[in-house]
Amino acid sequence: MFISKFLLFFSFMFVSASDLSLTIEFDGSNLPDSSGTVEEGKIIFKNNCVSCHGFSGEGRTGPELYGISNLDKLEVSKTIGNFWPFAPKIFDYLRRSKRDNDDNYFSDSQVYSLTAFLLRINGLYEKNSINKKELSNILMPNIDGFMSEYHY
Amino acid sequence: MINRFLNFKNSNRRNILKTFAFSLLSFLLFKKTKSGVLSEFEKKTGFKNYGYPSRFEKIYRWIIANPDLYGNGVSFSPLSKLNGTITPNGLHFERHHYGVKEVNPDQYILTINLFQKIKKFTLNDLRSKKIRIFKTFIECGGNSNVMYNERPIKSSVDLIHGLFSVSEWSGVFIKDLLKKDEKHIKKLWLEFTSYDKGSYNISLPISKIIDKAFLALYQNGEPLRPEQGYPVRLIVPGFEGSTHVKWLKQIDLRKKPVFSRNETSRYTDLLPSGKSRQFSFEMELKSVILYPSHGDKLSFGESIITGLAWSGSSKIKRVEISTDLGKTWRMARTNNPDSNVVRFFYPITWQGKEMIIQSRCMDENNKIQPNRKEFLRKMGPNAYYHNNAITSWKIHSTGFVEHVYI
Repeated sequence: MFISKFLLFFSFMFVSASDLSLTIEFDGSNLPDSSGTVEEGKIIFKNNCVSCHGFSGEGRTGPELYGISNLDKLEVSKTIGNFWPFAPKIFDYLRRSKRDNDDNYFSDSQVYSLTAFLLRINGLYEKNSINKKELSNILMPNIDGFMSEYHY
Repeated sequence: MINRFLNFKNSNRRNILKTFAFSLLSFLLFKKTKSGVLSEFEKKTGFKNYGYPSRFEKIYRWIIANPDLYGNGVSFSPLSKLNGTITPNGLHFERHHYGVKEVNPDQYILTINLFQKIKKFTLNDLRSKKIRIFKTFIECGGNSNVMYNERPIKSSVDLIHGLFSVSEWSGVFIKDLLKKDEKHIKKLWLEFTSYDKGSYNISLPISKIIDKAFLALYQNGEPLRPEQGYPVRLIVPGFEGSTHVKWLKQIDLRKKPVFSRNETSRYTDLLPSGKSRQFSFEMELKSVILYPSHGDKLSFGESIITGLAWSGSSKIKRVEISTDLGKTWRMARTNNPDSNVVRFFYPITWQGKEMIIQSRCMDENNKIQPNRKEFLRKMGPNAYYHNNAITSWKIHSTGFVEHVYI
C-alpha cells in the first residue's frame, strides 16, 4: 500500500515535469505519440542537413553521423552509432535544436523520420516506420560505455 | 569542438590551413567593427557615454566559426595581450552552440520546477535578492585540446589556451531561491535549460553544486553582455564552461541526469580503454606562460616570464618555472596566493642560449600539473577535453619562441 502510494506520487511528479519541459527521458518514456519513416527522414535530411553533414551523413563542417569503429583505437571518430548511449536522446536533440532551411523546428513526425534515418545509416534500425515504442526499444551499442563518480 | 576546425582527425597540415583561413576572417571582421559611432553630443563635448579602448591598442579575439551555421563557433580571449587577472568583458571567450540569443529583460522569466511546485522569477525579482560576488574563471572543457595533437600546433598561445577568461561575477545563489525544506534534495539533479535556439540543457548533481552555484546578473560590474548570457546565466565556480548555461530559462528538478547531447556525445572524455568519463565537471589545475610564448622574440638581458595559473577545485598554492626540461623547478612570485586564479612572474636573464621554458602549478590539494607524457598516459589521445598538461616554449638562439613538445 505504502509503495503504491509512493509510486503514484512519483509518476505524478514526472507528468508535471514533462508538461513543462521539452526534454525526452533517456528511456523514451515521455516520447510523443507520433511516428515517422526512414524514407521520409532521408528526404528531410537531403533537403536540410547536407550542407553541414554531407550527402550521406559523412560530415563536413558538422560532425559525421555514422560509423561503428571501435572506441579503443588510436584514431577514432565518435558518431551516433558508436558513441550515443540512448536512442530516444537522438529524438530529443533533433527536436530541441535542429531547424529546417527556413529556420523552423521540425514536427514530431519529421523528428521521428530523421531519427529513423540516422539509426538506419548506422545499421541500427531495419524497419521503415518508427514510433515511441520502437524507438524506446533500440539498444545502442555504447550504452555501457560511460563511467562516472555519481550514482543514480 | 575547436578540433572540428583546428585538429580535424589530428591532421597537422589541415590545422595550419584552417587556422590561417580563419585568422584572416577574424582580422577582417576586426577591421570592420573596431570603430564606435559617436553621437553629435559626444563629438561636441569630447566625452563618451561608453568608453572604448585606445585606437593604438589592437587587441582582439580570434574567431573560429562554422561557415555553414550562423552563430556556431568560438572566439578566444587574447590572454597574451592582457595583464592582471581580469578579462575585459568585450574580450571574454565565447563558445556558442546555437548563436547569441537576444532576450528582452522586461519579458524575462526564470521558471524553477520542483516537481509539482513551480516558481517563477522576473529579472527584477532576481535583482532584488541578496547579491553575492565571486571572482572566478570560466574555462571551456575543450580548452587546450590542440595539445592532444601528435605534433605541437605552431600558433599563438591565445589560440591554444584562450578558451579561458576571468571575471568578477555578481548574482544570486540558487540556494537562496529555495526554501529550507527544498534544500534536502541533495541526491537529486537539476536540469538547466537555455532560451537559446537549441534549448541547450545540462544536468548537474545538487550535492556538488548547491553550495556554490549562482545565477550571474552582472559581469565586472555591468549587466551581462548578450553574448555572456544576458540577462541571467548559471555560474558554477571551477566547473567546465559547458555547465555555465547562458540565457537561463528553466531549472527542473530531476531524479536522474537527463543525458543530454552535451553530457553524453560531447563533454565526455574517451579514455584509452574505450570507456568515457562522464560528468567530469571540475576543471583541473593548469598554468600557462603567456610571455614569452610562441611567436614572440625575446631580447637579450633581463626579462620577466609571466602567465596565469588556475584550478577548478582549490586555491593555487605555488607556481614553478623550469628552464632545464623539468629537471629542476624554481618558485615564481604570484600576485595573490589566496585565489583559484593567480598571475605569476619569474625574472630571467637571457644571454642567447637556446632553452625550453615551462611552468607548472600545485594546488591546495597538493595536486601537481602533469607533464604531457604523464597526462597522455592517463587520458590517451582521444579524450579531447580536460587537457591540463604542461606547455613547453623553446627559445631559439635568435630569441624566437616556438611551441614544442618534449
